[in-house]
Parts: sequence; structure tokens; C-alpha cells
Amino acid sequence: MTFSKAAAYSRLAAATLALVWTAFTLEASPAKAETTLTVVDGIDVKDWDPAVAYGHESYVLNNIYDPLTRYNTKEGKLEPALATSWSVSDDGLAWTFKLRPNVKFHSGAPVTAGAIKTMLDRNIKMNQGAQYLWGGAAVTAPDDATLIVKTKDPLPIDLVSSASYAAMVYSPAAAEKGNEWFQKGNADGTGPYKLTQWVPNQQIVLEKNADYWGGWKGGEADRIIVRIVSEVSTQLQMLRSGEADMTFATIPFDMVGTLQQDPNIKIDVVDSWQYLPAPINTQLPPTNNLKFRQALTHIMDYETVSKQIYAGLASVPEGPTPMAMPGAKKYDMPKFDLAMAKQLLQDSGVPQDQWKITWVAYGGVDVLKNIALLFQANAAKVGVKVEIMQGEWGVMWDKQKHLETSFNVFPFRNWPDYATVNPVALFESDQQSSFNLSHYVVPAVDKLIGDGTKLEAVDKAACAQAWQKAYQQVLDDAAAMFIADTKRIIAHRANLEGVTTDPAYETVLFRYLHRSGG
Amino acid sequence: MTPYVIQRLVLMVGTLIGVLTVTFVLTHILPGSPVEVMLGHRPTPDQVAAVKHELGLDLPLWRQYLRFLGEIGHGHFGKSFLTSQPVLQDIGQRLMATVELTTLAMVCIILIGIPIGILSAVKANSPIDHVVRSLSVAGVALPGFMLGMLLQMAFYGWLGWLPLQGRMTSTVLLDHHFQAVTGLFLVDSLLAGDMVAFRDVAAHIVLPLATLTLANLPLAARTTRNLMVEVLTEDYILTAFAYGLPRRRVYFRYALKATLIPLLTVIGLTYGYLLGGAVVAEYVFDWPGIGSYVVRAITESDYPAAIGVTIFLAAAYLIINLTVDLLYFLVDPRLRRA
Repeated sequence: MTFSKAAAYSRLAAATLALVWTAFTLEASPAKAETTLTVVDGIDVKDWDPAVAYGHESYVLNNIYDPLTRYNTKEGKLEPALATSWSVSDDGLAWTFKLRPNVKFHSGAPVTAGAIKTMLDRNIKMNQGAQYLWGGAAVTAPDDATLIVKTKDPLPIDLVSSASYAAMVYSPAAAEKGNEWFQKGNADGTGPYKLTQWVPNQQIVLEKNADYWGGWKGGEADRIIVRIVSEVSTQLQMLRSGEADMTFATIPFDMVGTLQQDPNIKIDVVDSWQYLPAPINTQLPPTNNLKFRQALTHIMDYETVSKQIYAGLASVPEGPTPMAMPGAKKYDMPKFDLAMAKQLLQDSGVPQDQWKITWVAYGGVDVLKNIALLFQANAAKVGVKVEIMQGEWGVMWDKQKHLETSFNVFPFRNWPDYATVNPVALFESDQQSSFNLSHYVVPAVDKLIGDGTKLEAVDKAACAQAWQKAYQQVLDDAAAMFIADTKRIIAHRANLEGVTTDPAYETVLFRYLHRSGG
Repeated sequence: MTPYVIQRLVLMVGTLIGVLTVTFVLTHILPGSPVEVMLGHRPTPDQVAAVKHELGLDLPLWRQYLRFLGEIGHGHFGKSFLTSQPVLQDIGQRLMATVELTTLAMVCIILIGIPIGILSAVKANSPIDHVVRSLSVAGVALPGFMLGMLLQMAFYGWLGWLPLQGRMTSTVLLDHHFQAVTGLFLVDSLLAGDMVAFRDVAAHIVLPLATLTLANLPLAARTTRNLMVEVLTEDYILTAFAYGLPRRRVYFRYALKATLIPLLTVIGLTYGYLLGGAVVAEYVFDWPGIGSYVVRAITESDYPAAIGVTIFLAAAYLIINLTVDLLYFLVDPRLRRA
């Protein structure tokens, strides 16, 4: 056989051309099955283990797992999920749940009180994620249908059982296999969808659980594909082309208007429990001065933040927690008033050459940077110099927790772990090493918060009264300014119906989704 | 040659330890810790303290370093803070995706860039040469991410010929299982005889491949041209022409051979660069390779992942350089005799 280099090159070139030709001549993507819906998301699941999950993965996990109870924000009450009824002892220390009969895990094992005890014992022992909510409870299962949860202090275990993070029920078999098994992309819940495939950083596939205890009406998706697409513009291209039915992307606010003009796309703007508090450091000069702090709350232009920076996709806070949250009350909130701010600054006694503060805008988040710049510009009008401090969330938070490295104002996005307006995390003095970023230490407020927390399980009215007083004191002390209550934006194809959300859960419930006419 | 190879391998180990040390110091002297990021929404102080202790982040830096060297010595790179998966497993899953993309890009660069460079040199200062040089400059100047997005707009948005992102279509990935023998999907799907999967994989690789190739081809073309222009003025080439040898023979057999050593260097460096530098193409096209993985690891202080990939890339770069150096012996008999 003779060897010819020219012939070899020719063959190689022909093979390359054939490859390119093959690619160009096939369809861009095979036709989707009628009942397959594609959702695009920017972040892959990090923790598949429900005992650990405490972040973005709740978008997916809340469609695979059920809690004992489910919070209905619209109705303002708890609804049965895996538990059909529940009661609490007079002292608020023992909760009894009656379980829904004949419910099975995806693996086919029955859901019993013993199974849930196994899961809760594991969660509480691991004490990761949001498991602190259970307060180290002791769990017993006197029979298959009865679960008893006892705590040392009164806790609203009915509400904790509805939480987005710490309350997902999984099977004893899964608990036995442990974290390593979960982390390989396995799940065994009771929810409407089963996890059937996880290709890291590419896609998650959920199949309909035909035996779902909640039943099916018909027309729902048999298969949900969650495609991991990191770039927002790519997500939106997929949505526009119809390759994706819905996106969980955080859409830049200035693009919302453009998308709304596309007849094939619908933008849902829904209530959220997310809001933007800005703790003001009560121990760091010059914001350790009450009048100086009060002045700052009048320098913030709340209307412009909501209307311009959030492009109307946020509202001016009417209280220290969003009105969408259960138990939220309206308060007399500070208004944008530079004249009043100037007066308060002069009354503060802080020498004018010390009217300098540091303001954090972490993580390169555009909205936070723009708010900082707006505040900086308005503050300059009354003679306050604002230095904007930028850095990664973890770094800035770590610095803020320690007084010696902390800043004067630290806006951050916040939301509750379950349906509560409890101010404990942000304003109790014990939380200085965590999220009391104002370094706010007022014993009277601590007592009000503690009293309310003990009453939350047994006397909601008295609890609310205590917390209202605590919040009022926080506002009087100007320990934080509350900048905006934000909305959630969900972009989907116009023919996708049943996009059902509840601010209690950072997800879209896939079981209600269907294409119009489907 | 053997002593030379041994010497190089020893140097490689030293270099890797240097890389380990620099990477460790750089990732650990930054303020703050990644624990706050890895624990989710609102971790308690107890949880933060427990994890810092578990990871040894509460130890003095020098003890952390010794612990780190010990772990690496045992092949433990730890778990990624962001994916909660072992770093080696993460790299393993992503590595072959990057290798597939960059190797094909390298092949395209060689097959297209070198002939273009030769053509440009042979036709030096002709209109063809001017066009090639202008396009080369334009190719270098055009940012990779913009090129990628332009290709997406053209071939997905307007023409609808090619997929937008990813390595496979969702439904094909789900319904067409083929055994991952090599991790190179083009090869594995062919080995499995699954032509639907093969065509889907081929379609998905075209745009990221074109982006990487077009972004790196100008360097190969320009280097080849400049080397060839120089060689073509050498006396022995002019003599060959004077003897009336066929031009094609002179170009490919005598002139090109003389450019091989510097060209090999450029090819080796480009391949090493592509392995780590495919970040932009991987990000734009959601190609699940190590480039996109390391970007997120660096920006979110995922120490184990950043260190793991850095060590891997450093090792790959060193191995590629060593391979290129050994190829010198193959192409230049004078070195073998030295």
C-alpha cells in the first residue's frame, strides 16, 4: 500500500467537512414530548440532602418533597400536607400531628410516624442548614399515624413544619443511605415529582409521581427538565425561542419592559417575603448617635429606589417586614426629607467634620450599588460623606459581625425561614455574631422579642403585640432603615399556565403547570 | 535523553510544589472565609464555628498549610464548597468536556491556521497576504465572548441551525444513554453506534469550537507566516528554487520543516492556554468543562476547587511543555546527537 500525505490530508479534511455538514443538516433540537416542560435555572443544586439544603436548591426540592404542613399566604393560614391535623399542649411544649393515611414515598415505602421520626432525628442530630428551627426537639411515634414533637421551650412547630428548608420529609431508607447517597443526585420523597436524572451542571429531570397523594387533574407535565444555564441572556434567548417554557433567572430590571413587549412571553410579578433592611451600626461612630441615625433614615429616597432602581418591581416599605408576610403591620415609617435630615444632623451634636459613614454594597449586585450611589448623592447634599465599601458577601458579612471591622450601614437581602415576623434574628443582642448587624443591644427589646417567641406557639395575639412593641422601639432607635420590599419576577412562555407561587416557598409548584389547551 | 527527562520530571515536581504554595497563600490571605457562603441563607454562629473547625480554618496559617500538604499528598483535594462534591470528582466530570473541546479546537487551528500562514508567506505582500494579516489582527482584537454571542445570535437566533448552549439536547441526554468510555461524547456516542446522540453532540460542539478556533487561529497563522517568510529567504531555499525543484516540495518539505521547532512551541503553548483559557467559550455556551467551574470557584472563594483546578492545569501545562520539548528531539536530529 502506498502512503500519500496529500491523500491523508484530503481524507482528514473530508472527515472534518463531513462532521460540520452533519451538524448543520440536523435539526437544532428534537421535538419535545407534549408533556415535557423545560425550566431554565442559573444555579445547579448544591445540596440534595434535605437535612442540609438551605439555599437555592429549594426551587427543585420543594417539588420532590412534601412538608407536614404547608403555609398558604393568600389565606394566611396553615394547610394540611402530610399531616391532616395537629394540636399543641397548653404549655406549647408538645405538638401532636396526625398523619395522612396511605401515602407512599417514591420508593414505595409507606409514610409512617416512625419514618418521619427517623428523618427528624437525623435532621436534628446533624444540625445543619435550617435545622436550628426545631430547637433540638425530641420526637416520638406512639403509632404509625401519630407523631409527637416535644421542645424545651415553646416553639411554633406547626409553622416550622411548613418551612421551605428544614421540613422536607424523606424516607428512612434514604436516611440510612446518608448524605453521600443524596449527593449523587438521589431522592426519595413523597412529592408530585420524582428525581430521575441529574447530570451535574447540565440538567435535572423530574418525572411525574403517578401515585401522588394530592392527585392529578390531567394535562400536567409528565416530565420537567430543569436545564442549568448560567448566563441570563442565554436563558432569555431560550425562552424567546420556545426552547424553554420558564426561567428562574434573576432578570435585570431594565429588561423586564422589553420582555413584556414579546407576545410569546409573559412576566409574572408576584409577592415575595424578600426585603431590603439596612442595619445601621449603633455602636460605631458616628452612627452610635441616635439623631445621626435618624437623619440617615431621612436621606434615603425610598420612592426613587422602588420606582427607578427596581423599575417599579418593589414597593416602599410600610413596616419593618413586607406586608405580604403573615402578621406584618403598618408603622409610621421615616420619609425622604433632606431638610429634616439636615436638622437632625445639626441637633446630633456630631461635629460636621465627622459626618462620614461607610456603606456596604456587596457582591457586585447592581441594585445595591445603585442604591448606595443614590444615597451617597443625597447625603452629599446635607454634608454627609458616604464611602461605598464593596466586596464579596461572605467577606463583608464576616467583617460586619465584628465591631472592630464593621461598617456604618449594611443593606442586605433578607427573608424569613418560615412564616414569621419574629425580629429575633436581626435585633436580639445575642445575635451580634450572626445577623444583628446593627450591633443593637437594648435589654427591653430583647425581653419583648423573647416574650413574643415564647407566645408564638400558644397565643398569637399576645405574641404579635410584643413583637410590634419591639419593632416600634427598633424604629424609634433608628437601628435600621428599611429600603424596599421586593417582588419576584417569573418569566415564562405565554402559553404556560398554572404558574403558581407562594412567597412562603421560593419555588414554582410544577404540579400546576400546563400548556394552554393541554 | 533519559537523564534529561528525569531532570525535567524532578523540576516539574518542584514547580508543582511552588504552584501549590502560591495558590494556598493567595487563597488564604484574602479577608473573610468561604464558610459564610457555603452554609446557605442564614447560618447560626455555631454552624459557622463548627464548619471552620472541621475545615481547619481556625488554625494558624502555617498549620493549615501543613495540613493542606498532607491532604494533597494523600490525594485528598477536599470537597467543593459550592457543589458539595469531591473536587477530584468534579474535575473528572468536567475534564473530558474541556479536553474534547480544546483538542478539537487545536486540531482545527493546526489544520487551518498553518496552511493559511504558509499561503500568506508564499504570497507575501500580495493582496492575499494583506487580507490574511488584516483578518488575523481583527481575530485577535475581537473579544471571545463577543464572538461567541455573535455566533449564537446568527446560528441559533436568526438561522436556527445550531443549538444555543450545553453539550447535548435535554431529551437526547435523557433518552440516549451511551457508556462513557472516554468521556469524549463524540467518541463515546460513535462507539455506542448511537448516531442520534452523535449528531446531537456534534451540533452542540460546533459553535463553542468555532469560537475557540477563530479566537486562537490568528496567532498560529501569523506565527507560521512570519517563520516561513524568514525561512523562504534562506540561501538553501533560494538554491532549491534555483535548481528548479517543485515549489510545493520546497515549501512543505524544506521550508516548513525548518519552522517546526518554533511552531511546536507555539502549538504547545496554545494548547496549554486553551485548556485553562477556554473559560469564555465554556461560560458563553454553558459548556460543562473545568473553565466555567474554576471561574465560579475563584469568584466565590471555593478554596478546594480553585486549588484543585489550578494544580491540575499547572500539571497539564507542564506535561504539554515536556511533550513539546521531547518532540524537538523527534523533529530535529541535531538535538538527538547533542
